Amino acid sequence: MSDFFLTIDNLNKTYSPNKLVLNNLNHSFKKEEIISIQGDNGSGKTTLLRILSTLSLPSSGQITLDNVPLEVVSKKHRHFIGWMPSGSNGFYSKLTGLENIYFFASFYNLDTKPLNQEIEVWKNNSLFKEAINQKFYLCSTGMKNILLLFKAFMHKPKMILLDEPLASFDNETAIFASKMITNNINNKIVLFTSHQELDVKKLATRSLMIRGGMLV
Amino acid sequence: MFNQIKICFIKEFRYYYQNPLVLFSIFLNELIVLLVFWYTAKAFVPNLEIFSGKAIDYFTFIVIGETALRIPSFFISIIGQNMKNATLDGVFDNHLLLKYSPQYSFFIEGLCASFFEILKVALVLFLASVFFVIDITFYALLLAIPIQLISILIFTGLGLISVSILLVLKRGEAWLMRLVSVATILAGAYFPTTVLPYGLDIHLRFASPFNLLLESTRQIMHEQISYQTYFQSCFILFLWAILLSTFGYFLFSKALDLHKKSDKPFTYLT
Repeated sequence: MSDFFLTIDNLNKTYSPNKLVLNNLNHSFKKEEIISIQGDNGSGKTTLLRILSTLSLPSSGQITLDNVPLEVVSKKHRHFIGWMPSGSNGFYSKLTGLENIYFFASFYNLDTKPLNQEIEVWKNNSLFKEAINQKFYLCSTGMKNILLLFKAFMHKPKMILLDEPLASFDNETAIFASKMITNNINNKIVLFTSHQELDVKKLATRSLMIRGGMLV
Repeated sequence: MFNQIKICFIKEFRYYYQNPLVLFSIFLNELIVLLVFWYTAKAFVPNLEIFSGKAIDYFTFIVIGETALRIPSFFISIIGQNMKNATLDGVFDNHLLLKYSPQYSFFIEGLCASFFEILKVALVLFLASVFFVIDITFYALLLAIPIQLISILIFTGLGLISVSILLVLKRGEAWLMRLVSVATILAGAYFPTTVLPYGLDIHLRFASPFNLLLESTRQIMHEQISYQTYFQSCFILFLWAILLSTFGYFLFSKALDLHKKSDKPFTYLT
């Protein structure tokens, strides 16, 4: 049994023989850490998050989350993972924000009552309040991202992976989102990517950099 | 599951049926198709003898062919269609992270979509009986329901197999649709399989569930089936269902692993 909540051992990812994205990456993380991952464009930040989210398979290496190998998480405990992609998509475009939330909540088997209570808390943010009644394709980028952030947290996952979560928010919503992330960190770990130094300072308890396919 | 079905209904309605013009065009489309069938039947084939001495109107023959295969074969394409829509909306990854498997979530979406397809079949039968003449009894329709339900599993299995090919190759949707069309034609949706080259119809009966489904449904509709043959057909279709749905589920899981390994986007997105 490891003391660490998330461990990455000898992780490699290659897309072709001459395109090594992650190079023998090793790292361990404790529970309730909020880790920022920074790096140049194409350095492998999103690839690392996609591997941790089980959406992409590594070429080699071992990852365990709360002492459960990620292959097992991928088959049996997918709800351990909360995922917010970059690019402001991830919801059905013709459904409203609330309908999308109910759609995914139903496939996570979430009870409606606590879910609605959680929605009420998030409705303190005016952008979220506006977004839940708007069809997703009509939402602004900020509205889309606050909905996606909610979805990443709503089923109480153990590991939350956020790809540039604060990039499109105004100051008020960025503060609200940071507060929601830090308030909901109990028994979880959050990893996020960012190009904004300010976001990292605001949110991260530890910062890491990907360089040459390795975490430094 | 109730919540899943409810929200999938809403999604299906929002995507395809919200506009009243769409509902009107569906009505008009079905009516026009029936008109074409009716006048083709009257012009060229006054009646058809395919079962032990019973003459059958070609219009009835073709309407049964169309409707009997419509719902089951819908399940071949709907899983791929749901997957494509999910990819276009950027939701596909979210399906891979749900508590339930993506096979399950896409199947539930397909199940809700099929409700609207069932309504369309009911509309065709209603229009055929009100505006034209069709020789089908209510009892025969009831007997056809179990066969249709078993067939849904068969065609879901085929749907998962075809989607697995899409996942690995990232393309091929048009070819899959063509294969379904060929299988539908060879099953005898539009003509009796007796016109096929000698012996081929017998081989197809064993090799293609399309043929067994259609032949059994036609025999039910024309009250030319004994209970023994009926239960025998149900049993054989049930075996097809277990075989194809298990194989489809397994193949989809393997294709998903390959998709995750390559991590390449679908071509219709690029």
